[in-house]
Amino acid sequence: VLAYEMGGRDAPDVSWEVDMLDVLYVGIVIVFFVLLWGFTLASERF
Amino acid sequence: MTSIGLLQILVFFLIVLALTKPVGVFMHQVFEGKRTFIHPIIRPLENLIYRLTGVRENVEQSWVQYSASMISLSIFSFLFVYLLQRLQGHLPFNPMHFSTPQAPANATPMTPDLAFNTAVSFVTNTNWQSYSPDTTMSYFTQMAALAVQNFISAAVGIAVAIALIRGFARHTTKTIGNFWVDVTRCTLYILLPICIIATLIFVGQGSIQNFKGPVTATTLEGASQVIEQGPLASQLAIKMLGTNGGGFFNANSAHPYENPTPLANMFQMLLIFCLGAGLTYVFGKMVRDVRQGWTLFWTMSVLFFAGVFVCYWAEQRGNPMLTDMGLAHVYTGNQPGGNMEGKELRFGNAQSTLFATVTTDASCGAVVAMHDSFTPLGGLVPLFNIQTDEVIFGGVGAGLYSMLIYAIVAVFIGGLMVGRTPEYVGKKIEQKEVKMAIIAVLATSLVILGFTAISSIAPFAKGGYWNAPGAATANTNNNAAHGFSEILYSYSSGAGNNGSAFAGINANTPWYNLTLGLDMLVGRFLFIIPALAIAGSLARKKLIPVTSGTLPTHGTLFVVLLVGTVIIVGALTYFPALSLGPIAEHFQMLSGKLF
Repeated sequence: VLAYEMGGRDAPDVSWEVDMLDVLYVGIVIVFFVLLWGFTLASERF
Repeated sequence: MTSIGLLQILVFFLIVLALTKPVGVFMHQVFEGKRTFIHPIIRPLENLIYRLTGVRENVEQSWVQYSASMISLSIFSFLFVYLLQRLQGHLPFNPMHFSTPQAPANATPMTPDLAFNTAVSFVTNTNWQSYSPDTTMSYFTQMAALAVQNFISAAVGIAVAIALIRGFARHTTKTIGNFWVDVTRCTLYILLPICIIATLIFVGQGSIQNFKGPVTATTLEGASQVIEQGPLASQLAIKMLGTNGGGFFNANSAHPYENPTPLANMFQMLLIFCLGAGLTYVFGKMVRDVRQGWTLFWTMSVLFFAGVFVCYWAEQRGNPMLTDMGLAHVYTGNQPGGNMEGKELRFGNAQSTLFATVTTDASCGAVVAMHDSFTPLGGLVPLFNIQTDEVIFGGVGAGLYSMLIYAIVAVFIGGLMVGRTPEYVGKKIEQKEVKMAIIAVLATSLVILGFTAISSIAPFAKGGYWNAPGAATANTNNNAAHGFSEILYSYSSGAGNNGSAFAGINANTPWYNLTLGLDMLVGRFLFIIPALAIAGSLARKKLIPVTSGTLPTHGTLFVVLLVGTVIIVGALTYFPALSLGPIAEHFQMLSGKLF
């Protein structure tokens, strides 16, 4: 779990947590693009 | 239909026609690397960008390298937009304190599924918004994440179209251009200068451009009204020019700040069409036969007029049930007549239906009227425009490469009919091109129809994570045929990278955010990769001379063939679904039933 403080200002009552849902949704996109790349390479041989 | 309404549509089209050649000539110069009148200002900046990023301007890429560059930019863009949204509570320019404990009570939480959906949406040039921007996004997110993607995603679309044109124009070569150079030139020479001018025009018309927080006004009735502020005009310009369509405000271009006057409304529609129309001329110039470009232009024009006249006729005719009740809703000097539910009185039926068709002819998705409130046949037109891959001038770049894919299908069918190998602008269309064209068309329809079917029956536990309202159909405001249209429109809009909402559906649940996100990804990238594969394949081929056996691909006959191909492919694919939605609703309306 990570908490971010950005922009040089304190945000004591605000935190952002990387949870499993972030991993899930980002992972879905990464997997999509990996599959897309596979399709791209396969298309070269069509 | 009224004469003044028809005149507005005609004037709009004539301006588009007048802009096509000058815009096309300029774009052709830019992508051919020729000197333009803004070179003294832009060229040093372009060189600086190449030096900083290490891009070698004169090194060209194969279609696979071009695709790899496009995919890598898209992954980076997604991660950037996703992070900025999730971190907006810690970032500046957030006067409403969104994503913080001080956020207004009506603020929409920036959940992972919403951030995923929105990031995908803006990277794919869709700009579908499952949220209300007024109550969700900080100014920083709007500017640094969403508006930046409005530029990048538009530039990517145009770059892909240019690469495909090069495939037709070049011969016996493996390269189709340099992705980074095309995107940089498109942004610097085309998108940015036009947007700067357009922003000033919108400000002149009354749009706002500031960093103030909301102001509170007292209405004539004494009620208190919160009026949002923000850096709107600059985002409005690229929203229209880049055919992105994502609104700064929830009401989109129906908001008085986001569309202050009828003149601003007309200008917005021209921005949507101008680059798409210009690209048809670029095509003709690059394949050294401008007749080919004009053929595409007139094909698009025929489809445009067919759509806008059906939509305008249906809306001006209004709801016959109101006539049966004795209510007058015909045009008079004092009232616009027709079906005015969900429409701006400032724009009336003519400009509202013109805007609705323009925004779905292209993959823009901005709205001045709620398409959900259109009559069933009026609403069918935007829906069918999207489902036929928005080939009518289209999304910037996307419209042209989609139309060229339909042209490949058309010459394939034409070739079968005359018993010869299909050819298009001097290139043989063979197995690979046809396979890729069919993959592009089928992938889009697969996700639209597949997700619509699943969402029409998917049961979810009420209060559960994936869809708290319960079954996926519980998210619609209307039931039966109209509710089905709302779901079908959502997935069509996502896969078509249009982004307009039929309205009437609450899509901000993990189920809809996830499936619409996947819908957008497939609709965008499983069209682009086949288009680039076709470009690479065509570029390797020899140019073949025109013979007496060549099917002419310019002139009226080919316009008819291409229009027929677009309509027949669209109708064959979507008629069953449309018959369950707007067509069924139309006949039910005639028999006195509304939803």
